[in-house]
Amino acid sequence: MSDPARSREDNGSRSMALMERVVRFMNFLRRNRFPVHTVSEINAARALTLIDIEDQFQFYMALRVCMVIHHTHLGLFNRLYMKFWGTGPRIPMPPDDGEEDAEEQSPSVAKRLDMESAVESSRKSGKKRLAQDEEAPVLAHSIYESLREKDFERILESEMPLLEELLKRMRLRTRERKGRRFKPSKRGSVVDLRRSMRDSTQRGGEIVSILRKEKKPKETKLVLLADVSGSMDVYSTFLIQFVYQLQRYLRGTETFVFGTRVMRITDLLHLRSVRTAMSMVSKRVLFWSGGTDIGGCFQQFAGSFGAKYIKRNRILVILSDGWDKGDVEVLRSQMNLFKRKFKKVIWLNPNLKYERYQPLCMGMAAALPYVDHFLPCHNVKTLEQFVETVKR
Amino acid sequence: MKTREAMQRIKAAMREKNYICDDELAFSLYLAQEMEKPLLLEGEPGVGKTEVAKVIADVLERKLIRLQCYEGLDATSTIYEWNYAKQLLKIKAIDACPSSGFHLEDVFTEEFLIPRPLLMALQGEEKKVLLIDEIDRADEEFEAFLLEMLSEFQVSVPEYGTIKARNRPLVIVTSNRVRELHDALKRRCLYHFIDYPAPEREMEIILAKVPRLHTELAAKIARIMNNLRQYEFYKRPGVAETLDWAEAIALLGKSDIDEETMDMTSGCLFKFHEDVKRFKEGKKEFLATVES
Repeated sequence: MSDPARSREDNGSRSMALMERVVRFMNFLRRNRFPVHTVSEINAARALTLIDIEDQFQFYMALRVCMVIHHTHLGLFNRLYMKFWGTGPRIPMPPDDGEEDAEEQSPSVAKRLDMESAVESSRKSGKKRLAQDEEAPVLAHSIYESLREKDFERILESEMPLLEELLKRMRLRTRERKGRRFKPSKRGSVVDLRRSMRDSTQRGGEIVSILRKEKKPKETKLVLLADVSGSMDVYSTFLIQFVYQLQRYLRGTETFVFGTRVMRITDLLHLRSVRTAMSMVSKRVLFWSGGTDIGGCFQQFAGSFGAKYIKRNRILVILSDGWDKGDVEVLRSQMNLFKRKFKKVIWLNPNLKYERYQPLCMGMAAALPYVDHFLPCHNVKTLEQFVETVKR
Repeated sequence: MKTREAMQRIKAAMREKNYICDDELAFSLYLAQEMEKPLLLEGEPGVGKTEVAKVIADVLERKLIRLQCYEGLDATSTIYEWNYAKQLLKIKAIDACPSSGFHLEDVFTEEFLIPRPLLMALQGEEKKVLLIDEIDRADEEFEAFLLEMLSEFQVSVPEYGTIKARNRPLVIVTSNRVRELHDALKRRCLYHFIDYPAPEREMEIILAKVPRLHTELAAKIARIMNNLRQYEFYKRPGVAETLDWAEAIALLGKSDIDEETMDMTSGCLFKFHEDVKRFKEGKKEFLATVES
């Protein structure tokens, strides 16, 4: 301290070392699928020059305020922060606020902690499982990766929160396509002569304002028919969660479940949380895990909902393994109808995960000729494939 | 320790204006001010996002310029508009008196510009606070033309040139997450998510806003609210609803909350028939959990 020049130099090299570590932290975030933008990095670096670096709370908050731009990313950020810096968001709580007892914490915080511990435990159990399978030990950050390829059938209860997170983070937004019809528009690029002229007649034939028009966007709408008979039980649960996420991005997605009867559950999927939606669905659907009459159900669907939902601009997605106890002829004629009336027919079959799978059961064999895309759906990765197909 | 002091100062000053703000928010505000970056506040409706801007403007003694967003908002109503009538009059005047030495281009000067909120925030010598409220209600195009404003603090007027802020305003953007904002916009901002307050903090808020309420009663209200938010309602009550409710209970002169009070005041908390029904049906349960 006696030599000011030297201490300044010391400080300089110390802050350089810290910056290096911060940059390493950013890379660490990136590797763990946490979205990091360059601008955020620059912001964070700037922010760090404005605070007391020694103060853990400020250090954490400066990084958080700059890096986290979506509140659902906060949990992941906190976990990664904890992992990288060794201290966690619990430590940087300033002393005057940090003295709350666990009991006094708001339930929302408690819930979050609960969730965190669930994630933590799932991480552990995931590791354990892998260890049993005698595979190479995985780093924590690749849990998402392994979960992505894990069969829904083998998902543990404890892994559910992680999976939900994963489904949420899928890129579901589809591109908006321009249609061919026009609609009046303020900012359109095409002059709407017809309306302009008409407008001018009110002003004695003088064209005062040039009115414009633009192409009407064409929306891709999905109609999902999900099989909830006994053989499909496991997959339907996940698929409906997936559809729940999907509906947030594709307005006009309609969801039906079928087994021995058809039922529309679209309205239930608009509820705030997946869990509530799921419990409502299982309450309403009495034929869950029952038998299957695919053809009959499709006929019923066409009869009671067809007028409204069978349209040329919609894509039909059928989720079923094709095990059918009903009349195959009925199924065939219905599929023929769907093929003609829908834009596309996509059949998702979880059994496609078996390499040597042959569509031997009668129902599947009968339906297959009328299907445009025949896809697997047993894990998140294959669901991503499906989204790609829809986007095309 | 400079930062911590500044943070505590913000906190104390906001408290004086009856806004109970936690460290995280105080820090975000401090950083937004120091870095001259916009601060994006997200959170459920009624957690006091808009209030932050109002109070901070008050604290900093700056003028607050508020831009309420809605669908179809466009540049002419947010940045600037030419004063066409005045321009036409001027042109007529030139016509009538050609020797005045006035040129037609001169009608595109600041004199003929009507500044709208965004431009207003950039003009002038004094520092201001700009509140862009509920940006998720505006369409995506609007976000796009906010980008220049938020990152460079300047506005381009094709006929006139670029207007740059001499003093950058403190910009606060709020969103209810009705729709996702574009990343391009989010990247330009610092981000803070305001959650529902913990019961103790909510109690403080109630006492600050409705001082005539008894402390124990305020604590009970806070606990009930906190409990209510765990249930599935079509629209969960926010802090704004809490305050309405506390106000109503204070007006009724009640010393405790019973089922009758809950029935009478349910309209303060819930604005949907289904929610009111659900609340009335479950009131026993809500009270019991709080009392145990």
